[in-house]
Amino acid sequence: MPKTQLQEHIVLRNREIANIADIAVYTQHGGYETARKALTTMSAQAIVDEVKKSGLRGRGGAGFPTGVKWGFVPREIFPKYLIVNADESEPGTFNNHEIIDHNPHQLIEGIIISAFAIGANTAYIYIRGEFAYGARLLEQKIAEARAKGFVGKNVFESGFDIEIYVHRGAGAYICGEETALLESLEGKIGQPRLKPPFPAVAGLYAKPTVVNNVETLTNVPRIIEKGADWYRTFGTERSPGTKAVSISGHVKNPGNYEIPLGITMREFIYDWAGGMRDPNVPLKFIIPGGASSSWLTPEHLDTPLTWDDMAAAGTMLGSGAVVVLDESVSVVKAALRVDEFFKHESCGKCAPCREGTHFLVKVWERIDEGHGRPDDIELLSDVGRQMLGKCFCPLGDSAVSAVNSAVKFFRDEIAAQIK
Amino acid sequence: MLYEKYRDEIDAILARYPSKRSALLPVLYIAQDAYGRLDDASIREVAEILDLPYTDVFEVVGFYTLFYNEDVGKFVLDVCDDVPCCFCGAEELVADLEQRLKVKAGYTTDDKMFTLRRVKCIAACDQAPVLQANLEFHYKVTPDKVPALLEDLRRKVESGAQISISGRFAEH
Amino acid sequence: MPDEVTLTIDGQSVTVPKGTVVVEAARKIENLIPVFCYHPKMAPVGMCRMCLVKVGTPKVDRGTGKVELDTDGKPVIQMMPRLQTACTTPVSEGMVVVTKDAEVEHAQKGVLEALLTSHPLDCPVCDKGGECPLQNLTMGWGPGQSRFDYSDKVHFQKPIPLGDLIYLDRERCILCARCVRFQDEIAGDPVLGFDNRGRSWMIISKSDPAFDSKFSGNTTDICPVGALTSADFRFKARVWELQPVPTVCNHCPVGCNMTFDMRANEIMRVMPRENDAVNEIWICDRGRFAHHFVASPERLTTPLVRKNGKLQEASWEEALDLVARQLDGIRESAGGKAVGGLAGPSLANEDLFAFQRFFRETLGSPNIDCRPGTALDLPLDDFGAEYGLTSGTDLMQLGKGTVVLVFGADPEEEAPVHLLRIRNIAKRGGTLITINGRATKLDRFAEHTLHYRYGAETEVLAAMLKPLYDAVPPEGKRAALRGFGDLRGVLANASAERAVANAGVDGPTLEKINQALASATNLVIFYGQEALRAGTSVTAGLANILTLARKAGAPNSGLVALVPGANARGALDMGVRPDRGPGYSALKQPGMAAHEMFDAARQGRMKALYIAGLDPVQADPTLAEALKKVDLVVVQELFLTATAQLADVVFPVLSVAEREGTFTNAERRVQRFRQARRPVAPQRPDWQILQSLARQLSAEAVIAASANVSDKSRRQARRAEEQARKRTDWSYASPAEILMDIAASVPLYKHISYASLESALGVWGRKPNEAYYFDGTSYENTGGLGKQVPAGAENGGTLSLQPFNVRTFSQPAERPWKLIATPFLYDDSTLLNGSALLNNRKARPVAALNPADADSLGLKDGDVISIASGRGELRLSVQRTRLAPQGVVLVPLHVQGVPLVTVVEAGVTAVAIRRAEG
Ligand SMILES: Cc1cc2nc3c(=O)[nH]c(=O)nc-3n(C[C@H](O)[C@H](O)[C@H](O)COP(=O)(O)O)c2cc1C
Ligand code: SF4
Ligand code: FES
Repeated sequence: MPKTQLQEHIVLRNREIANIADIAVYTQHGGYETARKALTTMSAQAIVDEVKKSGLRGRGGAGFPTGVKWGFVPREIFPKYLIVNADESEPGTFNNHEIIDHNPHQLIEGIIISAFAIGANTAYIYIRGEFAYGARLLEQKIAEARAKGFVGKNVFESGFDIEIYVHRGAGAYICGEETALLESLEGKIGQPRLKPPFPAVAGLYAKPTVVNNVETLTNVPRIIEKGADWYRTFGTERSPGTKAVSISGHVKNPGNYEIPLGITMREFIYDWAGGMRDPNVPLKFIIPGGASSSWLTPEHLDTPLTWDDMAAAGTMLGSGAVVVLDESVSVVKAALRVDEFFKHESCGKCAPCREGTHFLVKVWERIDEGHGRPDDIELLSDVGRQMLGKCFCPLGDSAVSAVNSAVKFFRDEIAAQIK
Repeated sequence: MLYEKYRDEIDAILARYPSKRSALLPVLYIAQDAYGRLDDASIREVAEILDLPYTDVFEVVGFYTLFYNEDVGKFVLDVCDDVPCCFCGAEELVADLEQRLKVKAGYTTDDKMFTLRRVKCIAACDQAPVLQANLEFHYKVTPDKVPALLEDLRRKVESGAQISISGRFAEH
Repeated sequence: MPDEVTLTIDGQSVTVPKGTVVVEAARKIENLIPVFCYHPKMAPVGMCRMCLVKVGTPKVDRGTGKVELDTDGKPVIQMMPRLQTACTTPVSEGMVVVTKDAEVEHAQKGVLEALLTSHPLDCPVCDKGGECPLQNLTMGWGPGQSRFDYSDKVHFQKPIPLGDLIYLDRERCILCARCVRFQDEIAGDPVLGFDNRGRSWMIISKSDPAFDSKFSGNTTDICPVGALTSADFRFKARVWELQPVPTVCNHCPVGCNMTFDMRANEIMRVMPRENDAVNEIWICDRGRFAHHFVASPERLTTPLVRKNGKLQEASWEEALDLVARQLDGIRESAGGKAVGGLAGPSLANEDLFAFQRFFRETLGSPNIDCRPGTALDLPLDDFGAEYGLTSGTDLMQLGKGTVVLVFGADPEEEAPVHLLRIRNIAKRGGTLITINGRATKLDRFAEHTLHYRYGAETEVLAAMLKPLYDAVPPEGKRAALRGFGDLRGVLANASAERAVANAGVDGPTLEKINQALASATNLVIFYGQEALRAGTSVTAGLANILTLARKAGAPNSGLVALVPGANARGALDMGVRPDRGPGYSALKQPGMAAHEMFDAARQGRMKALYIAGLDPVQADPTLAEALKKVDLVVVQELFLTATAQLADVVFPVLSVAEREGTFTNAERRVQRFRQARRPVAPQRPDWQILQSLARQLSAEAVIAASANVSDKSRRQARRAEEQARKRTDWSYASPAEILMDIAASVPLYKHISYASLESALGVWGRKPNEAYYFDGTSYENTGGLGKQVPAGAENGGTLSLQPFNVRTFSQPAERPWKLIATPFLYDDSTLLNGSALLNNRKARPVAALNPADADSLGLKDGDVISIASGRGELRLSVQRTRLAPQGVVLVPLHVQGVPLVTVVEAGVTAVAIRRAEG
């Protein structure tokens, strides 16, 4: 049953309510009432339980159940921190961007409730440096909320203090990785930390820390307001809820769509995003979950957009970013661009990623320029094998997705280009 | 001097963190705006304000792409050439800008007005081709819109409006 | 055992302590997993990915929580889906590790290939060649050939000096961050870092001066490639040509174990030798780079004898004969007491023992001292031996439960490697307390820090002693402490409030320090030159803290006195001092201290002065006048020092590199150094010169015996003379024989012999001297670990509390500033002769003032001021620095152009400061 619209938005409520970024509008529509209710009538544990029950999974890429993550935080160590991951830098992803610019108060309310749930009195929103406007806007919005007594000391007279600060990154994709983010927030270069310890135990300033994505937290007010059962009416059993998915590339109507999880890729591309930009140029492949994800081809169009189904198809839902590319695109060029990205963003800490991404780019480049060598496909695959699962953090692995996808689906095309 | 001049702002930043070092990125942004780039002297000054070893601050400046330790123009123009933008007009936009500004990407115009850079995804893929001018977004910048955009930016400089290469006053 | 874990590595079972990482467990069974970033002395980071292995753990049934067993009853092993870094993976019970199979090898080849893609492969001209982990691991694990044939290896300007001492070859760097981590984690000087990121990531140093650390040389050892090389060794030799000879550093009281790496009789470089109980595997840059005095062309080569007013070359026979005859004459005419002897703290125990024998037995003179006799002389320290670290104390083993108190000391300048070791105790959970008159680098690592007002040290100590004193239970215990009653009155008024008021210290911190002292399991107290200079009440106060905390003679506790000189403790142990004999034995009659000898000389009462390894005139030029009044001045030296220039006879001596001997370090570990170099001139070791003279001169006892003829029968007289002759015989064939004599006559040294110093047990939990090539350079210790002598307090007798008084320092209104003499590692001492590389790091002749004080006096950097005390005046240019506390002027010790001796007074010197005119 193709849906063309969601009856009710959960995170992109700005699509329904004009000017919801305005605190007056937001409060008119019940804004901050859920936070009040949560902080004054619910226990922290009850909130954690409700979120657990909702089955909300992290929207930052890995899809880890949010309530479970909150449960890892040791109660007796203070202070604790909540970090909002607004580093959104995965190529193809721009849904956090929209939430920040157009529905900021719901994010802030989500932060207040979530901080209360884990017992954090300080939250930092780590926002990518390029969102200079978003950072300013959030600061203004936090100030508005503070003026109303929603942020600061003894909010809602609940006895709970919550400070929210915006911290701007300065241009480094790796800072989206949660431990690199913490390093960056501590004023250091953004390189991932060795785990364990995990941030939940020893994160920011070695204190218990929860890192959650913007969209994840923006879900929270509605889950608490309307309950886990209501939330579960969207999506599927194991991928409940909705997801703001960014679609770009060669579709008619690129943009963000909040979809109920479980619709198929075909529905999403053709019913929601209007189909291919030029109906005469057919779809060639899809990068379905950000540049890190393995590609899909038209034969996968019936894969439902859920964590499990995407994994079964050999890829991932990732950050919810679908890049649709048509037959005009050269596979080699696309793979080259993807790997250039990872080379550019490799932090340098570990050898296989630092050197491997460079190696991959070099080989793609020579194929693209017409100097490919007969063994290059094997070479790419083998270097990929030497990187995959062997790097310090997932960034290095991500660079291999394009290699493996291109070789798997378009070996002939690459081979043809080599000759 | 930096501290004296921006005391309130810097103190407010310091107040947000239990560790002085956390204030490094925001203070570097201030220094970068104040000095037009982060040269050695300004990096050392920031280190002294925050009581940090010099090397640590140089390290941070070197790591992040939004800190400029070389001369940049009044406006840094960042064009996204990542997938998917590169297949949706970014290459044409870069070519157009290179021709108009008479500089290759990665360089600054002779009049020190613009620095043109290719950058990776800036989270506005549906609006391709897209660029940021001092970190303000400009969407769907097809080559026909470029002359007006550049004119606009030049006028902004001439009008004496507040310019921040760090994007501290970014509007949209 | 709960604290041990058994696992299987490539089918071989091994049991190791919990928390061990897989690399170390494998190493134990000689399964060498290749590593680059991992270093056993630093926290694992898992960056380089060289150590990837397969790891599996027993599968646990979720329901029962029990390990699942297969049909054979063996645990089902669940292999992890990805390879794991062996350097970061802690072992667990039943773990199975596979280090050699196709998948692991593929990964290892990949990492090596990756590293080599940006490496210049310029091994033929690389100083690391031959001891290079990258070379070795490539041989063992690398791919046969590279598939990366691009010519875009990373290229950088070749060698970039990182400061004066270290060169960086960026192309060779494999970005393992060992050097950066060493500087952060171990040295505590975060002066190295990285610029850029990704493949452009590169090492930088932006400190001022670049690579501003006293430990920089260590990074060249742990660098697993030739990226960091020392300016001293660059292009000097291929490492396989070098012959390492074990030695002990002769620059400071730590006594780091080192080797002189020799080629064709020249020292090509100095390397650390592993000894966890002393220096782990580190040495400071002075130890490493200040060896050039050995090969300096300025070295004295032949004896010199003054003829016609000028020092002229002479034969050994002539010079020795001359000295012997003259000393004999003086002894005859004026008595042995008209001769004075000074022997410095850089001489070996064997020399010092011989020296005091020569004076006390041969010349019959009690006048000996190990100090130069200037106003800067420190009091002789007994407490460092009486209450010294109990034997068997290994700082490396201390951590949780240990309180380290550092009082009036700046270990970074006085004993650099102690800084690392103290910091490590703190890292392992020990409590570090620093109490000083000014900020030192060690404060950064301390849990509690107090800064007292100079002159009020005893106020602080009284406030620390008081609660310990009060806590001694009355029953019997008090009686067991000699001097307990005497302290009562002294401490009657002591309180934290008083210390806060009079010493300006922070009350709550003092409180916390007292709590820490009261609950310490182990207590180690370091004190340095500022504490010593502040008077014996200060060191006595520290000794009393130890005693009252019931840690005197207790395991893992004691005092460590940082007295300057590599063998300062040895000099005191050997009795080179006017008031005590060897082993601190009581003397019937004390002799003159160094400064008294010079006083006597001025008054014409001193007929001869014999000076070995000290340069009093350099420290105080006015002593030249006194020397001129002495009939015979004999100097044993390496160089023609200011003092030697005034001598009548100068004997050239062998340096530490050209002879054998032992030093006793501040922890009272006796350690042996070996001959590394054939002498290039006919110099002799100090002890031998003394022996030659002693043989020419009859011992005083022999003379006395023969003089008593009238009283006794001739036969009796002859027998007495015979016995005296035997007793005072000099027939040492080697320093080893002197050490045997020391062991026989100095009870503390009872168990010390050259053989006992040679044992080399394994450290880092590994076999002795396993030269694991991937640690960096080999730190093989073939020279032995040395042996600690027991502290006096270990004898178990009644403990004494030492006389302690609270002194309040009052300052005349016209001299409101305090002058403090501050020690620097890089000063103008003789042993830095010829090591030009270190010149830029030397302490400058400046007076350091707090900027606030400088402002109040209207002084800018470089302005010249006059500093006047009750004794004299000194002119220096000003350096404004926050390191100087307010009200204090810091003036460097032993720096040319800083005649400190003209102004200093005992304790704190009150001075007036004014801008110098003109
Ligand atoms: C290389 C890399 C980049 C990442 N970038 C982002 C990002 O930009 N935003 C984000 O929310 N999570 C990002 N993540 C995931 C985070 O590490 C983390 O899992 C996430 O913030 C957790 O939030 P969630 O549980 O709400 O999803 C990234 C992970 C990696 C490995
Ligand atoms: S895989 Fe390695 S080099 Fe790449 S980003 Fe992660 S840690 Fe850095
Ligand atoms: S990652 Fe284990 S040695 Fe480098």
